[in-house]
Amino acid sequence: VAFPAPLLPGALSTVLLVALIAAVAVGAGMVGALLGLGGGLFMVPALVVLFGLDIHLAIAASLVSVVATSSGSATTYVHEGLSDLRLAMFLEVATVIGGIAGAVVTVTVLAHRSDLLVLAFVPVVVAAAVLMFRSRREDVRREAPRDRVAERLGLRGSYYDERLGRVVVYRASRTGAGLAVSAVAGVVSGLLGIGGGTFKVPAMNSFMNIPIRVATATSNFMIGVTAAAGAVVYALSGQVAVSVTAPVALGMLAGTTLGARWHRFASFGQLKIGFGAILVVAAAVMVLRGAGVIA
Amino acid sequence: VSPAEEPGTPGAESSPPRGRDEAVALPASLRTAIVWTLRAGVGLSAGILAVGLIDLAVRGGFSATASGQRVDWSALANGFAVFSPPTVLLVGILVLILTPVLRVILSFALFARQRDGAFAALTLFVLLMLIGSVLIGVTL
Repeated sequence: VAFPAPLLPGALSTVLLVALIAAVAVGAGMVGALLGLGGGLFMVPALVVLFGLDIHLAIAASLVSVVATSSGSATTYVHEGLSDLRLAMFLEVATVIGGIAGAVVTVTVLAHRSDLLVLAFVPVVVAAAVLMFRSRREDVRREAPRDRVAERLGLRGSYYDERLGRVVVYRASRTGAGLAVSAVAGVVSGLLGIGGGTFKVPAMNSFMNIPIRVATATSNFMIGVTAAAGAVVYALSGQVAVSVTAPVALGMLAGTTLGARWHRFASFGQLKIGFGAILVVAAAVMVLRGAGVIA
Repeated sequence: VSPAEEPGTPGAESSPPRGRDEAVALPASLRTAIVWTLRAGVGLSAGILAVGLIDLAVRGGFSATASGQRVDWSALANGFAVFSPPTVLLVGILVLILTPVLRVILSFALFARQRDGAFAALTLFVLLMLIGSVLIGVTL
């Protein structure tokens, strides 16, 4: 598959270009770690708009980097016991299938449809905003129906909430809806090179009755395998621009490490405001690009 | 010891199913093994990518294109041996991508050893899907 030659500014030296890409990736990774969405929602438009990269290559670079982002910050979350590993391994069944399917579609059916891939970002951003405001008022915690699958698999747990100053106990509900949303999140991940936490975190929170901090940490942990499933398809079929992907991965990894360190200090309000800010930026970028205001 | 390590605080939920609490509490060994696998894999790939980028900056050869070719494994080994920057970077990327796969293999092994049939089956399924993605990647 041949992609159109990207329009990178030829005057920039390699060092400056690599440093610029890495710097943008640091910012994307930092926000992604704080919000559990992996930074890809910001990274892909940035590579396309700021660096003129073909969106296929931006998606592949972002997806590879999301593996680093997830794995890097997951070590912190898992270490602190915030990630629910059982819940993650249950939902990964759906996200991995979706991730592979999404990547295959981008590499084959949409191999020459950069326009459709750009457009596909808009509903994703809108859906992310809607989901965020839907779950804005409460951090779950209402009565949820008992779920036989969740009980059979022991999908429940507890964590110590520093801000509440007590142990919060939770029990997973509506595993069917959880699997469905995870599959969709996987498809979007492989298709567009984002983490998919945008969809999983609010869904795990409002459908499955998982506290938002556990949902964020668990989603982040799952994203590593989900993105890897898609990234394998891009990398092994030769759709990864290695000189672009390397600084993106290292930059997002550095940003994630910083973001994960700040995660515990961020309040719910700050998390949501941060989420909102990134969505506004992403939406503005895509609309301006769609309207031809920016190249 | 952090209170977060103690699962199943009583009284907060109505009638928790009995007899499964030892299954709900994941073994500390799995958590530790996962953390170290991820750290080692990400650290190794970050090191390879950093060396490759320095080499790229020194020798040049930045390219904002993809090869469009399937990975040629013997060429990959040769390129890494002679330290060709694009090959070194590709190896770093592949190490990164394989890190979560290693984590799934590890989880499967630990669940199987624990005789946790349901989760051994779930992780094995995920592993088979990942192997499937490798097969798809090398055929596309």
